[in-house]
Amino acid sequence: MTEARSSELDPKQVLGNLVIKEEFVKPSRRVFVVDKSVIREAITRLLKTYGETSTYISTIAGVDRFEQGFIEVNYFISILPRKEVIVLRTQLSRAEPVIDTLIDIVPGVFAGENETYDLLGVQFNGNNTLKRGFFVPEDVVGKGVYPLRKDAKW
Amino acid sequence: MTETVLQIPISLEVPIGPQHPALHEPVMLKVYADGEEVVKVEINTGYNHRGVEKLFEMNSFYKGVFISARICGICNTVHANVYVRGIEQLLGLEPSPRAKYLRVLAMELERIHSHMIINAIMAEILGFDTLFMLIMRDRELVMKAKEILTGGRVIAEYYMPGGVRRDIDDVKKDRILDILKKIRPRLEYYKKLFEVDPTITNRLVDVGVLKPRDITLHSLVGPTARGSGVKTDVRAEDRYEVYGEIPWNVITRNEGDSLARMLVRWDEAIESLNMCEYILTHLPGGQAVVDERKLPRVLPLGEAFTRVEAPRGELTYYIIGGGRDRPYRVKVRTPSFHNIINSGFSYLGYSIADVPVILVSYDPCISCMERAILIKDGEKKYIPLRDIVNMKRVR
Amino acid sequence: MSLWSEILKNVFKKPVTIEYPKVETPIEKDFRGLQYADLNKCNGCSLCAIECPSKAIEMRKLPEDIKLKHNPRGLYPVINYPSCVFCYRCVTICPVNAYITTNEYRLATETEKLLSDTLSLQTLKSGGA
Repeated sequence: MTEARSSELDPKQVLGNLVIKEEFVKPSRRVFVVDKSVIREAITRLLKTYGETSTYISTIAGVDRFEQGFIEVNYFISILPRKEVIVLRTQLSRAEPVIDTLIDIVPGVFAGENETYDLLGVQFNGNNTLKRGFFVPEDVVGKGVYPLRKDAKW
Repeated sequence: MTETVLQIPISLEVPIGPQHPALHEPVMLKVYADGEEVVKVEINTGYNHRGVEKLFEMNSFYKGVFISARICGICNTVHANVYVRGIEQLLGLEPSPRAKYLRVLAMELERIHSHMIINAIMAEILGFDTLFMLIMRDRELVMKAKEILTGGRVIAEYYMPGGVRRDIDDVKKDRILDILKKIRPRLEYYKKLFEVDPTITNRLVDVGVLKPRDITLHSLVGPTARGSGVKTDVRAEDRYEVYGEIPWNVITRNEGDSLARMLVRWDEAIESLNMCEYILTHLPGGQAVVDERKLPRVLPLGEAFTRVEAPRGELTYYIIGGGRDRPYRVKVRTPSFHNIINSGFSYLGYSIADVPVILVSYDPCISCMERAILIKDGEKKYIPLRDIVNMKRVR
Repeated sequence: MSLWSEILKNVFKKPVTIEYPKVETPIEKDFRGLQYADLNKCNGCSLCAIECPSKAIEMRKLPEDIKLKHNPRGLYPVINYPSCVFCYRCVTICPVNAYITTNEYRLATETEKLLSDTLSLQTLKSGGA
C-alpha cells in the first residue's frame, strides 16, 4: 500500500475492533479507549498503515483518577499526513497498575515510560531500563512515595 | 587455569557533567569511550527538579499563568501561550483578532532571540569567542524590542485568558519596526558566515547525522527533525492563533548533520523577522486588553490538549479541569524532554570532541525538561525587608 | 569571506558596554518596576494579597492615628520585594486601581525610602491626588 493512499484511511478504520469507546478532547481531538492488553497491536497497526517516518508518539500522560479507582494512561499520537493528533486511552487498576511496554517497537517511549513509572508507579512489563530516581530526588524515593498520586504525603 | 585480569577492549568512562565548562546546564552524560571513539552513552537527569506539575494542582488556575511562564526563562512566552489557550478552550473564551496578532508578535520576537543565543553558544563551544560576542551584541536589539512591546526584557507576563495585558500605539509600533530593520542585515550576515567559514564547517559538517526513521521512532521534534527532512511544524498542522492567515513557510533541510540544524535555525529567524514586519503593518483595530476583574473564577469539567511550536520543538500541555478553581491535572511535555533523553543513540561512532557539538545542536534547555514534585516547605521563616534594613543600622 | 572586515570595523569603534554608574541604562517608561499602593484610593479589600502568585503581599493594620472613610477595615498592603516577581497581578486585579507603578529597577539597596510601607504611607501625607 503506497503512502499516498494509506494516509486517507481513517484511524477508526485502522483500529477497527480494538476500540471500546470513542470520546473527545478539546479542541475536537478524537479519543479511542482500548483495552490494555491490545496496546501493542494497536500501535503496530498504526505504524504499518501510515508509515514509520510519518507518525510519532507525542506525549504519554498518566492521570490518577482517585475517586473512580483507576489510573489512566493516555498515548497522544501525531499522524503527520492527516495533520491530526489522536489519543489512545487505557485504564489500569490502582492497586496494581501494569501494562505492556512499547520500547522495542518505538524506542522513543523511553523518556515517557520512565517518567510515568517514577512519578505515578505504573509498571511497564518488559522495560528493563525503569528505575526510581530518574527525576524524583533520593529522600522521597527512600520513603517509597509516588509523588503525583493524589494521596501522596511525604 | 588462568583468571581473567583485564578484558579487552577496555572502554573508559568519561563523565561529562553535571558541572562542566562545555555544558551550560546540569545534565550528566556518562560517555564510555574506546580510545577516542564513543561506544555507549547514558544520560542522567534530575538535577534541576522543581515540582511544577504538583504546584499547578495546588494553586488556582490564574496563578498557573505565572507558574507556567517560569518553567523556562527563554521560552516563557510560548509556555504561557499554550497554557492560556488550554484554559480558554475549557472556559469557552475567544480572544479578539487584535489580541491574537499581538500574541504571535511576542512569540516570534522570542523565537528570533532564542535562535540567536543557541548559535552564539555553538560558536562559544567551538572556541570562536569573537562570533559569540558579536551575536550577543545584536541580540540586545531584539530584547529591546520585546521590552517596548511587553514591559520586560526576558519574562514577558503578556498573556491572560481572553487577550493580552497591554496594547501598543503608533509610536511604539514605529520604534519596533526601526529595530527590526536594523537586525535584518545582521541575521543575513551570520547565516552566510555559518555556511562559508571553515572554522565552523570543519567541525559541524557530517557530525551527528540523523536519518528520518530515527527521528520519528525516537520522537525527536523541532529544528532537530526539520534538519533531516521530516516536515513537521505545529504552526502548520494546528494553525492556532493567526498562523493560518499570515504568509510564512516551513523550513527543512535534507543533510541531517549538525550544520543543517543550525542553518534551519538561522532560516527560521529570518522567516520570523518577515512575520513580525507583516504583523506590525497589518494589525487589525479593536480591543486587545482584557479586564481581569470580570473573568470567571471556576474551571468547568473537561479536558484540553494544546500544542505550540516553541523555538526548541513541539511543546504540549494536557489540562484536566475538575469543577473547582484548581485544575485536576496539568501535564507538560517539553521538547527537550525527548530531544535530550532519547538521543543517546546518536553519539555512537563519533569522537569525544564531537559530543558537546552534537548536544548543543539539539538545543538543550534542561530547566524546561524537569518538572514534577513539590518541594515541601518544612520550616519556612519569613524575614520582612524592614528587619534587614534595621539589622544593618544596628551594627 | 571571513570575519576580517567585521573585526577591522569593530577595532575603530568604541566599546558597546554601557558604563553603568556613570551612564544611565536606557530603560522604557513602562518597564515593570517597583509598585506600591496609594492609600487615598485603597479600600482594604485584600484581593491583591489573595491573588499574589508568590504570597509577597501582607495586609497590615494602619497606624493608630489614621482613620480613613473609604477604608473601613483599616488594612493596607505591604509588599515584600525580595519575594515579589513583578508580574503586576496586584495592579491589574485591584477594583479601584489603587496601585502606583514606576520603572524603578535598582532594588538591591537597603535604604528606608524604598520600603513599601514607607512609600504607601507617604501618599497620605502629601495630601491626596
